[in-house]
Amino acid sequence: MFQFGTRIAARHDKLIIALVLLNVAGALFTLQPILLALRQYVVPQVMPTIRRLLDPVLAGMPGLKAFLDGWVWVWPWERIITELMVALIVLHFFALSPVLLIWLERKISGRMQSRLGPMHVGAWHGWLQTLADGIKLILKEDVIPTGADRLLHTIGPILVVMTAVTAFVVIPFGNELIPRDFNIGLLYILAITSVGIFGIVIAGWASNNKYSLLGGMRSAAQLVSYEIPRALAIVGVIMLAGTLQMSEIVRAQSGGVVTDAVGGLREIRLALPYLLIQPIAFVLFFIASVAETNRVPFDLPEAESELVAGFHTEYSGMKFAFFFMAEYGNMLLFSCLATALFLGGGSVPFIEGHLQYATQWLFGALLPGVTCLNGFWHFGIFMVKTYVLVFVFIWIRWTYPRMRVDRLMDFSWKILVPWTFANLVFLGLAMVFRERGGLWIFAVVNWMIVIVILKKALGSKKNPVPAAAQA
Amino acid sequence: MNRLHAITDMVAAADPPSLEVNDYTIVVLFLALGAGFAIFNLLLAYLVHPSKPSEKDKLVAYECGEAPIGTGFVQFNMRFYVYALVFVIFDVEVVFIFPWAVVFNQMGLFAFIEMMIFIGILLIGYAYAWRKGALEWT
Repeated sequence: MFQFGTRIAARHDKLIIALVLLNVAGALFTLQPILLALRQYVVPQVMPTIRRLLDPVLAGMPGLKAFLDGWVWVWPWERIITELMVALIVLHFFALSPVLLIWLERKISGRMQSRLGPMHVGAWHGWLQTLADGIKLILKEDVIPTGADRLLHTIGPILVVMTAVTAFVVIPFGNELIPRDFNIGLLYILAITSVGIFGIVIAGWASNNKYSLLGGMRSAAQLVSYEIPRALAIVGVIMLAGTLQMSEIVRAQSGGVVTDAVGGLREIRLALPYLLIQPIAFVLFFIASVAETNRVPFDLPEAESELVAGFHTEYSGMKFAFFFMAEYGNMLLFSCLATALFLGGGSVPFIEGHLQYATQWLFGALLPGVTCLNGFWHFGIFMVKTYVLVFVFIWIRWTYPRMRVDRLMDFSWKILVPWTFANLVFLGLAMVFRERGGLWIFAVVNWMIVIVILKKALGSKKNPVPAAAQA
Repeated sequence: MNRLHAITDMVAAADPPSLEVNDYTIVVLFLALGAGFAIFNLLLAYLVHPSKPSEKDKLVAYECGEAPIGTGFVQFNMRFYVYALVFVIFDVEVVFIFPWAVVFNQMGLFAFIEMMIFIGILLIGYAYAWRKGALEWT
């Protein structure tokens, strides 16, 4: 079997890429219609027919009939299939985004280092490079070292991917584009992203390798430490929004003139993205996010100069690809989260209502009767904001050196945690004195502190060019 | 046949699943789909990847090219445990702060003072941990 694979890989790489693309597209374009047919036709029409036909047969078996009546027929199948369709779309989003993200990262890092980055695979700027790498990883041998726990060694990467996908359930991609709008959305995200740590620790534990074990333990310590400032930075958002529901948090940040469908004025709200009110909380959240995704400057768990590759030292092939994929998936997840919590999600401040009215008018004129497209620009705006944050992630990675491990822990416990507590206390104070302009003072002081810190950080570059180089 | 009857009777006698609309079905579906995606890809890789584990040194745990010394399960430092303990304390407190933050807007000064007392007590513990060196890596 393997000869078949490698021979094809060697000779027909373009063919394989085309096949994989077809497969991915096929999953989207064949599974979805099948599910749609199930929902529209099989469930409402075929299932009652089967039930009617089975009735005389089941008359002699009351136990089985009771079982079917109580456990099978009554399930809300239409709803379950609908949710499966939603989950499939999100899974595709999760699985295909790293392809773009990894390529982006390589191109951007290439630009930052005055080189080209991938250029060959695919006709234009190596855009298929990641896909080619993925195919290569599928074709690589899966080496499990002797003495390793084979089961846990496999479960680790699966767990990591699973939790990364599941966290996308509450991301508000657009105002109405949320897979499921839980009323405890934020708490859910915190919970489910914490489970991903188990995958990493299990992977490190099961490898029977000293580096893997140490990498896994370090990873656990690091993720656990940055969990606290991340959660405490979010508290500021919850206090201002007064809810844990993601759609409500986004709505609380989308101010402007809100009109109803026929253009009548409904209300005027002044609601700003929380970045403008509490930039320090945003910065703290973002730093903690970078640490939670194990990226430079916080990539101690996989510090190659001391721990070889950390928890995934003994991983090869597809399992390694899962860790890689989950890392980029998490990066996207945290960018989405920061967008929703601090940048106002898919809304545009001030002109939100005007845009809404304009799109309704435009689509009403172009496609009369079609209302489902009205909110789609929210998705575009959300993605633009998210990718700006993704760029910052990449920018940080290729700018800063790795931190030392003791500095890393100190940074979380002795700098971030006190700052988040201070943020919490002062925001609470500002909200108590809301009527007297407390929030305005809070925002102004926040921005002043940010500017002072920025000035200090940028001002430390006193002599960027040595005198010798100038001559 | 009798046995089947007994089993189905037993199942039927159990409480049927709740039919209330449950928001969290989708989480189960996402988990299943995520695991299914990973397992499907692993199976795909299993079909096409070469497998030659016979070579002697290939399966030895990697230790920078040297023969590994002892087992892979080495002792690790106590400090990981201390961090985990401090984390548990803070995480419980975060869980307490979340519901407070949700209703804070309606409760005003009273809730604020109450939370300040709570955070004050917590900060004493935090200062104690700092002083005792629980937050030191070395």
